[in-house]
Amino acid sequence: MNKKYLRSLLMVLLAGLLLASCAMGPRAESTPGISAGENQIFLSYLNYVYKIDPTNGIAAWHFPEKSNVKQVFYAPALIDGESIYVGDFANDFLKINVSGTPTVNWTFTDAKGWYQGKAAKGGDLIIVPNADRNIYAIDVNNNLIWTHQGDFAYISEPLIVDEMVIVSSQDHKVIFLNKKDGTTIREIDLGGAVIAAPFYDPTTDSIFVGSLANEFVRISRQSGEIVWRYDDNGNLGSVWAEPIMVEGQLIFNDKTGKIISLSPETGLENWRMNAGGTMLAGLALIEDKGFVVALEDGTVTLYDLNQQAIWSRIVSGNVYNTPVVTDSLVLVGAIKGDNLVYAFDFQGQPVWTFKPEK
Amino acid sequence: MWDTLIVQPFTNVLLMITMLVKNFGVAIILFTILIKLITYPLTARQMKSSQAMQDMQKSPRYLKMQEKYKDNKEKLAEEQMKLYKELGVSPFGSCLPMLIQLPVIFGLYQSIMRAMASTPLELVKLERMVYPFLDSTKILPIQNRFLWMDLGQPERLMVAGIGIPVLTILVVLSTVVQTRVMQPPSEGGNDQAAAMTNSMTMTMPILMGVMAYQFSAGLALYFVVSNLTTVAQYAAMGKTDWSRIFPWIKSKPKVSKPSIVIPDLPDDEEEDEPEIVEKVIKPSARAAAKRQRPKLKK
Repeated sequence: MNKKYLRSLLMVLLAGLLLASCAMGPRAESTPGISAGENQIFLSYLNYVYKIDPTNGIAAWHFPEKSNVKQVFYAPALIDGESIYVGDFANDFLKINVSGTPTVNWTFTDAKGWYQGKAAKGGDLIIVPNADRNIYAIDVNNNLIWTHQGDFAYISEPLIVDEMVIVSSQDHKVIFLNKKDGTTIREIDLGGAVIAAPFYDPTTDSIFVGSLANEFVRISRQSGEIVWRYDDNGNLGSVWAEPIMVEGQLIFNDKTGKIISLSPETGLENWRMNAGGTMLAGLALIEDKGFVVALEDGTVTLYDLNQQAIWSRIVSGNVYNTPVVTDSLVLVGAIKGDNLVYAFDFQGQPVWTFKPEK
Repeated sequence: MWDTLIVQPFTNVLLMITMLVKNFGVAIILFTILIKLITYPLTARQMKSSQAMQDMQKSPRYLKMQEKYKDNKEKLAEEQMKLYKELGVSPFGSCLPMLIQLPVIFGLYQSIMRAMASTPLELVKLERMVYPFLDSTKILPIQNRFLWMDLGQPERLMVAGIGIPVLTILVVLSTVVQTRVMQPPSEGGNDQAAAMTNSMTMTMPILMGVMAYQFSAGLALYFVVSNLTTVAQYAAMGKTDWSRIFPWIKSKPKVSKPSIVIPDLPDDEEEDEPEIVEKVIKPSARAAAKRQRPKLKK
């Protein structure tokens, strides 16, 4: 075979690959974004946002009706009455009326990056994290109120407490902003990227958050002082998810599967257990029952506060997101498995699964 | 296997360079150049082999053969293979080094994509790739900002409210330059292949431009550096004919000797004799040619 033919053949193959890749849209791998409200479940995954019926797991509709390769959804939708707020990878943030057939109320197009984190709402203000290193504050009528620029992509859900917006930042910081104008009140350096959303406890008026610096801290909301640090004597793994608070205990997990209960006041350990596997997802609280643990390998277990397993199930695929608890269901999102969402009742019985139609 | 042997080491070297220079954009540039330097012997071999093939295809004997068997493709292919054997030139000589380089190029591309983890899931995967002796706490995530660019996002330089895709333009221009300097001379070559090569010369910059426009700036930066390094390597070997890119530069007459010496066929073999006669009566013609088999010039 002629050398030129071979070269041409290779180039044609390469061109084919390039063309194929061009038709793929944004190149990013992420996990399904699940959010649940009263009698409604929304799932953001790839080219659609699905509204799922909690009783049977059937999609009532998906948005948009016809997919667009560039419009990819991973951020969980913020549910606000008959509307949802959700951002996509085409750099658009949308308010969608979901009372009937989904209709777009407005689209915020100022951002230059992808939306991966869930938005937060405080009063009439929507606080939206974006990968273009900005936090945007938009009112419910799509007016940009303020912008705060940082050094890294913002990917976690902001926390709004009174007149303060608190955001985790990948540049190792927890940033406190003034909700009115977005000015920085203070920045607390934690020595490692902060991926988990901050957690607020009104009793201690403190923020609790873990970081990739293998540490979990309590920060006073008023003073910004780090009240205590917990690193399990240097044995704590990286912390990727927010904690839960139950019966005066602060419970969180690290990547290695350690689950630790601390006193929020002192940071002293109440108890610890090992979930038995890698754990990127956080803990999900079921009131009066205990907490759900989801391992990366798909093992889902409900533990009571005495660390006794009540039930355990295995779902097909890998779990990276914290399970979502509704008034009667535990929703587990998985990737690379048979289904995208698995719903269990509080007794651990499978209720339904959801897999998008091809 | 692929990840462990190729992508993971590449990613860690990239991260180490990033730690050293404290700038991911500079790290991409240095890493691309480093990989290009490491694979240079293969590139050089590919160029030499390619040159030998071009020399052969321009030889009177080859052209005569083309003319003689233009209506008999099978015979032409057979004769071509004989000539390759006689000259010790392999038609795959320039493809093999290229094939060896392909995993390296794909690995380089994938390591850059992995390092620019832009979602929590990608960050988890990147963290798992970091070798224990590198402190992932200090490295991750990578700061993607470089000059005016966010390397994790498609690049646009905002000028008076208009986003200008500077890197895309650079990718297109550098691909044009690269494909033109790499394009073999068309004279004497196979017309069909030359036409295909020409069409690739036109389409590749467009395709690369579309990629650079849509994908992250880090990848576009890699394209530009890779293209420019390839051109520099060609220039260093004296293979660059700048007149193909800049028409006002006069093409220098080639003074270099051909990389192979191709003996012309003896006159008697050029005559149109019945094949059976040639085979039976003149078996010595090929043997004579074999005796004076040329060697590849070093």
